[in-house]
Amino acid sequence: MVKELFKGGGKAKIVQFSDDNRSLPDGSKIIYAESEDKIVLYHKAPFQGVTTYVYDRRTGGILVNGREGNNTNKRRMIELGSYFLSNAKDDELVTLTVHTKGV
Amino acid sequence: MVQGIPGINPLAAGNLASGASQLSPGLAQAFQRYPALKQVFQALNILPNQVSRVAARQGADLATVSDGLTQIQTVQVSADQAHVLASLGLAGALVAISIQSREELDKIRKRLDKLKQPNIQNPHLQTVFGTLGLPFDADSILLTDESGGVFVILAGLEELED
Repeated sequence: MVKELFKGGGKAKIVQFSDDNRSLPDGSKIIYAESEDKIVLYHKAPFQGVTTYVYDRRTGGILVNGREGNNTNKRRMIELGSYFLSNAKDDELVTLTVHTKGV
Repeated sequence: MVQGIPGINPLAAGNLASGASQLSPGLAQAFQRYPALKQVFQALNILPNQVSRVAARQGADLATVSDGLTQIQTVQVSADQAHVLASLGLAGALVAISIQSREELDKIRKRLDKLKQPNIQNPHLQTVFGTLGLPFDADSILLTDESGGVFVILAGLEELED
């Protein structure tokens, strides 16, 4: 499944609102991204710092802002992803596929 | 059956518009020859330099919008990206629009208004690139975009829940 997604040569997929300035109802901004070996959830709540969740697709491990996380962090990552989905229609989103030049 | 319209491919050598409001010579000529094309571009609010290729059914009469115009492919590219894409044989394949009725034109216009070219200087995106271990400069990467993304997120969340 994962390999299928990247068979076209893309290095990563990034899903965000097509309007860069759009935020979620609570004022936060969420960006979903994935590569062959990682799932990344970027979360920026208003007046707070950025929290970046990284799920390692090979080991199942979680990093939160670069530090080792746990199942609670993984659940939070799923909650945030679900919140993003429940407040975004498909036609409001854009998927960026990142290709590396020369590869 | 789709055919290219001669002289209307801005990706061809010497035919690429260099400024947002500048019309490539090929397109200017095509607009003069086929006034309906200009109407379509205006109806969709498409800048001429975003258009990489226009195709029509073979033998179609392009004097009217409804007859023959089957496809407009638009893409926002810099001159450098255009040459890279062309050399890869991917010219103009990023966004394809199929037009069959006035209703569809209206729908597409609304859609294009909503879709904005991702801002590569966006600090949020820069963080995401860094986290993915990807370079974040126009010289190293190519970005392609397509509307939607719910399925991508859903599949990812399912994997997380496993």
